[in-house]
Amino acid sequence: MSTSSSSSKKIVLKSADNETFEIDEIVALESQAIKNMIEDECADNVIPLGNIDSKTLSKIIEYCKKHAESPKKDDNADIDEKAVEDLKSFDAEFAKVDMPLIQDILMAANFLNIDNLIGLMCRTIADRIKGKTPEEIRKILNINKNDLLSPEQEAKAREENSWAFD
Amino acid sequence: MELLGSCSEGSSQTGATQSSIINGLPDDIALTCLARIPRKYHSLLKCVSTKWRDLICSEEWHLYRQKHNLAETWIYALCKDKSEQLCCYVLDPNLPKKGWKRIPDLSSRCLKRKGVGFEVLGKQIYFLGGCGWIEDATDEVYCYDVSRNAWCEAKFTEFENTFFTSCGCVHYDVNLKISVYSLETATLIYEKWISNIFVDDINMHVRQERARIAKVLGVTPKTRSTCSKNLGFLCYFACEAMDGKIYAIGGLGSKSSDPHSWDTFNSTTNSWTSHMDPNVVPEIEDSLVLDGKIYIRCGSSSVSSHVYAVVYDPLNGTWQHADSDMVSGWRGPAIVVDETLYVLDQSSGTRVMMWRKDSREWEAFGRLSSILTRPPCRLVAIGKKIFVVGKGLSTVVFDVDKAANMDGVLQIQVQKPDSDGPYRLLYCSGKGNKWGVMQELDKGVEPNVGDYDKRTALHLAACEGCTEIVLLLLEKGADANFMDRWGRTPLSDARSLGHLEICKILEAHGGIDPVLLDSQTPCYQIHYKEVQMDGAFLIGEGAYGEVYRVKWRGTEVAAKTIRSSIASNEKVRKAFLKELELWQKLRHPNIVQFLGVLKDSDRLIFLTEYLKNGSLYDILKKKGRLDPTTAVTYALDIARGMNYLHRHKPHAIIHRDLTPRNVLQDEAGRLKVTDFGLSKIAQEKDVYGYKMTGGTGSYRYMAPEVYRRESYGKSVDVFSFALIVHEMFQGGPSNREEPAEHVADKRAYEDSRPPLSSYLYPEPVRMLLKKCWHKNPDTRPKFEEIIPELERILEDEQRNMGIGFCRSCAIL
Repeated sequence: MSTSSSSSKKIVLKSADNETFEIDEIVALESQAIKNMIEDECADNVIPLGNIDSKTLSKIIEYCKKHAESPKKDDNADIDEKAVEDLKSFDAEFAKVDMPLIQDILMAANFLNIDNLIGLMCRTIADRIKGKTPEEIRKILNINKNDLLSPEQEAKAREENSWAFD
Repeated sequence: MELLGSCSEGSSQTGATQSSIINGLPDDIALTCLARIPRKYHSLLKCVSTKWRDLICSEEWHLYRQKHNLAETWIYALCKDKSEQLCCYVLDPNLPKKGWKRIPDLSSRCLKRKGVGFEVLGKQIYFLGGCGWIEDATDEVYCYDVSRNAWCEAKFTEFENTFFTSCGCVHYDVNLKISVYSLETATLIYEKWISNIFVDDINMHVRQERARIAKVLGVTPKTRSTCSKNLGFLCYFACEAMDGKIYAIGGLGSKSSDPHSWDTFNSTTNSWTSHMDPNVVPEIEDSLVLDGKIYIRCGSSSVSSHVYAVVYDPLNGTWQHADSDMVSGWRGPAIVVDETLYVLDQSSGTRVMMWRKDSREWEAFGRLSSILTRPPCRLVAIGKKIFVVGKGLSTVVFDVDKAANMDGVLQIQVQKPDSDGPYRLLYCSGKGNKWGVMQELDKGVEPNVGDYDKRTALHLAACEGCTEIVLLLLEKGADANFMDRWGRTPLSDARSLGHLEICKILEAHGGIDPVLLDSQTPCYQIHYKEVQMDGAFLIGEGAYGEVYRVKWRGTEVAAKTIRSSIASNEKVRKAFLKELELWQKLRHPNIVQFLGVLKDSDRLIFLTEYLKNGSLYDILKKKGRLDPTTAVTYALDIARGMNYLHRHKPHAIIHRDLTPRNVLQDEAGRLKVTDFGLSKIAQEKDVYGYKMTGGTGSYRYMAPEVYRRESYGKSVDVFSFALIVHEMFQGGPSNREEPAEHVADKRAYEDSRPPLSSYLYPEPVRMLLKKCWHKNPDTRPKFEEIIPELERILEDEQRNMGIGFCRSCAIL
């Protein structure tokens, strides 16, 4: 209702399972999608997020809070090293969750358009499967069984790549 | 609510997608994730699912990684192998320890070509033009798709200045020199040409792909006639692009019959122009673009050190003799990094020279170790790193910005071709191959790594008397007191073999010799109950007795029995046991290991290691003639084993009966000499009337002086060795039908020797054999002289066979 841009303005997000989260606007602005909505003045007091459950949403808010508090890189050239390190270790801790949740967060971050978080989740997925065998990767990412290479195709692929393996 | 709506639509879409790349993620996000995985893992990713395979082989994948700075550059090198065939290798500069990998299955049609243009663009490697012995220069193009790991069919239709292949097309373009498209895109370009529709109408799914095509098509001629001249039919040509023009210079081939011609394609007029200039010569060795001018260097004559180079200045459109100051330093492969010209000059030592434009002087940038950069070399640069790729793909890297100069010597990273893991260090140490040892150590191989007998590189180097290697290993942290399975330290080995200099070095490094403290080891005796003689299997019969395969403590070993006619003589028996005492101290990779003598046995039986592959006699019988590389490798094995015996201290061990039957092969293919000195026992018996029967074929390998019962020395083994080497090339003994004794007789009294056809024997081998079976025993070379000679021959053979030197290098 009120569109005053007071920094203490609150935004309320509602998850798919109807839980509401009240957050500072500055935190919400980490999401490019919500930022656009606010700018377009189509954000009412409650923003419904029908495809994000409360577990995922609370993780995302945790991330946005931390990143909103931290000085932005382009704010000034000499941000102190400690803050950068601090944010790095926060991200590393943040990513220590199971694969389904990573995927949920990634989907939600994509939807909310939070660039840094998308990057973090993509890196996390990449890190978890790099260097793993095809079998392990299939298990980690629950790859559709109907989509596997036929034994002949796989043998051929392995044969083709045999010089590059080891 | 609008947001909610649009979102649920999105999620239902992904839910409905039956086979996405990653379940639960839209494909574009999946691409974002997977594209971050390093390139070296891509081959594994391709095996995950069909979707993944298709993704990784796609143009989209390649472009995404490029756009987001995820692309990793690998170096591709075109080399020639044994039979002068082309082969291609790849190196991941981020994995220096992995070394070069050979890319298999180069298209058979271009294998034999010479003067092939080698270009890498997009995710494909292109092999352009070239000529062969019987075929004239060709316009054919072959390509290798890096992400698919596959060669494309070599079928093309030529259209305009574009080649189409089954997996895409290559287009000679004015700015990019050569561009590469997927087949789909290529077809679209083709169709648009035909229908003359503007570029913007092409409906592309990838935006940047469209931009790329627009760039190319924007300068594409509208009709075929204006572009009838193409860049095909060339070999040994120089190709450079500059200021929107492409230059094809020199080259040999029917279509460029004039050796002084050069052609340009002008983008503004869309036309090819042929030019003539007497300063342009056909044989171009190198070309480069520097400061908006094209330089070509011509094949320099080996007689004079004069470098001939011409430069094209587009401002006046002529070729002039290049600035002699600059050219004077262009004495080797050149590369331009950040507008600065670097040249690798190997005319005296190996120096990297830098051309100072401002002062117009060549300045020494740094020296490189000549051991590590083996000419001829090629240069390739990734960013500010220069890679020097030399013979056998020996590769070193330095960063022009960060090159730390230690007394003028550039600090470099070394990258090598495939190797055999840590065992190569042992192999090179025993061989005295300093370059190999340095390579292995630089690669990070632990200097104290041991073989199955816990013998380290230092043991082997100490054994072989390779002082330089010993110093090198100690410097790199090798443990001077590492004990092998028998409790011997490198010092024990050096001392027992009389390498005094090495003993001093080792002692200076704190080396001790536990064997010396306990030198009176009794002859190793094995209790007969430990050996299951019941299950003995007769594997051979020699002049001295039978050989059985038995089990000793669960391991298959060979049990050699001595005929009772010999063994019953007490004097012989004693001499024999004394001989065995000597044998138990012998250990060398190329002699069959003595294990022990059976205690309390009424017969005389001793055990040696059992070698499954049988003897050289069996191998030759089965395989016939060996290829030169194998034959020389085998010869080296025998020579090394024999050299060990001959240089034994305090007394040389003479084999006296070196024959193909006394050379056995282990499972790794290595040859080992056995039954050395046994004939000495028999000889003693000889006094008592035992006569060598020659039934084992020994006569065929017998030195003339032995046959004539004259006094003889170590060189009788060299004679036998020569005949064995001869057989390996021949596939068996010559004059097989003749009785062995006749052969020996003729050799002893008529100086007859087997024939050496130049067809079968490489010249250096012929020379060596003639020296080795010389009638005068004193002129025969020693094994220690034979070994380096064989190593040289082997290196030549391998250079021909293995990787040769690098013709061209490219990055992708």
